[in-house]
Amino acid sequence: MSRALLRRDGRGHREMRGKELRTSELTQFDGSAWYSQGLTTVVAAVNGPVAARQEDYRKCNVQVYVNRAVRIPRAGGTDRLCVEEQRLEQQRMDAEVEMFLTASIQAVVRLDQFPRCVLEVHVTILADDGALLSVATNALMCALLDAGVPCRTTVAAVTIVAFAPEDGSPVTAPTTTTTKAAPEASSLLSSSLPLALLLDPTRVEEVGDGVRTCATATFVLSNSVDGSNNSSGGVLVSQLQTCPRSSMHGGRMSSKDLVGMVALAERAAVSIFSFFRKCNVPLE
Amino acid sequence: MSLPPATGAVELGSFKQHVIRLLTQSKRLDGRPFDSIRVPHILYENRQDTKINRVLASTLYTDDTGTCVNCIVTGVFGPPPPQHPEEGRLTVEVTAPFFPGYSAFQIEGTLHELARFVRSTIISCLDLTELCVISGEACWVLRVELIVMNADGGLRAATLHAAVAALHNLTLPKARLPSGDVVESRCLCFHRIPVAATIGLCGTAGSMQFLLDTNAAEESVADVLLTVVIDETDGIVSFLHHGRFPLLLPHLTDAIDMVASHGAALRSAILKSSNLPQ
Repeated sequence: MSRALLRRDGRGHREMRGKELRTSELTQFDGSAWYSQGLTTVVAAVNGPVAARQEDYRKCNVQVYVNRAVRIPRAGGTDRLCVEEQRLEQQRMDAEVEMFLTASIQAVVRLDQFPRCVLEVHVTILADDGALLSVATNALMCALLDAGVPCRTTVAAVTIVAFAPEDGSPVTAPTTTTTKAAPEASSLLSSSLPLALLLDPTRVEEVGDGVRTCATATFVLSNSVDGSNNSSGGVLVSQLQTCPRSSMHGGRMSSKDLVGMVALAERAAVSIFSFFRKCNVPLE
Repeated sequence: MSLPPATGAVELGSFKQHVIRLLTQSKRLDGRPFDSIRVPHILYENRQDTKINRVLASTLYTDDTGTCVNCIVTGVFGPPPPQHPEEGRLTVEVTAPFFPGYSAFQIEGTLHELARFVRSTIISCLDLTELCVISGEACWVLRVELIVMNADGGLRAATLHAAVAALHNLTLPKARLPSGDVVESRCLCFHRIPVAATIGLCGTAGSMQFLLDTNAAEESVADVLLTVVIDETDGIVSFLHHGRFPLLLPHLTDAIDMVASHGAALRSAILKSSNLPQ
């Protein structure tokens, strides 16, 4: 029975991968952070705010540059067109990470205190094994704190995959566990089975099997105002995308599933905030 | 998220303050109510004249305040993607040739993210195995080219609607492979039709005001921006949101319900014109 709750790498449904954080290693930047969750590793470096010429001079401008340590190599022959399409798709994913991080910075950093300035962020994706947006946002948050940039709050990003549970008696236990973990009588009454949630997915879990995986969502949650460990302060940035090939098999994502995902992300952000606080121990 | 608003000779900061002053008086720049959408109009080009140029569909998306997106779909044969040999290929390109180049870097990033958003939303509503001709050997390669001629906010929704209108009921013509095999004509169908809207949220005087279907000026002053994509059963296809302060759960569900109430009108406006050429 407990074996049905384990994932491929031995984790439970609500368990995150191992986190590792190193700051202040890149000495040529004002702040830097090396952050990994599992095999997904991102290096974020922050320069500034520095004086620069720009059109909108009333507040600080944000420039985010996203690079990858490993890119798809070029190819020849009949596969050249397909490989070029994959390279273009990877560049667009970099642009998506760039826009997501720019929105996170604009929400967190007090840009109005630095008119006529530019805040430069260089993000290098060393390895991508799923949950890339959340790992990059967490690395960026640590780099901003390391650089001493004034922020309104600290944020933590969480990625969640929603998939349809299997039909049959072995899945009754995880459904009951899901109901006990998040008791929602209204969702049980309205829909037959709520979507099961996977916290901090790997790349294989994000791609899914094409039938049961419904959606992948990334939420950036702010710290609570009173500093308590029980809840977070709300969602600052979010991005939800349904998976292709799954909606043909009845995989529908409703508002109640979105509410469940945000509730799980808020509880997972508490563990990331405590991880950030434990890493804040000064050197003796 | 959005391209910069066209302010003419007015400074951008003064223009923003003017929009903020209007919003505090419960007015919008174009006089719309806060919960109304700009109904899109889809113009179809005659397909018979352009079939010889591999152009399968050509649509022009406009609404009442000047957003104009041209969508051209071309198709050729090609090898299938290696990771999914039983599927076809779909590529999306977004260009904006009529915008000033003073922030070309940011515009390019916006267009790249826009192309990825449109493609990922379409392939989650379209069965790509219908584009397969011979599994592992040959498939249709559809290229969706979106030209943003004028943008007035809601760029994700406008480009998505233009692409969906072009691809819905698209007829893949009868053609001959280089090996001599004849491929029969086929009609492309969506198994669910996405509609999108952008919602702005202004926190003025302590109360939250939702702005449905924001334009470019409102997007530059709104505190929170949400893009909601739903299907016929009001299921969420895509959901993006960012802002200056955190949102709680009732705000997210209220935004989805607001788009769902206008989903039928948007869907009929996009698909209504598709019956004219047939």
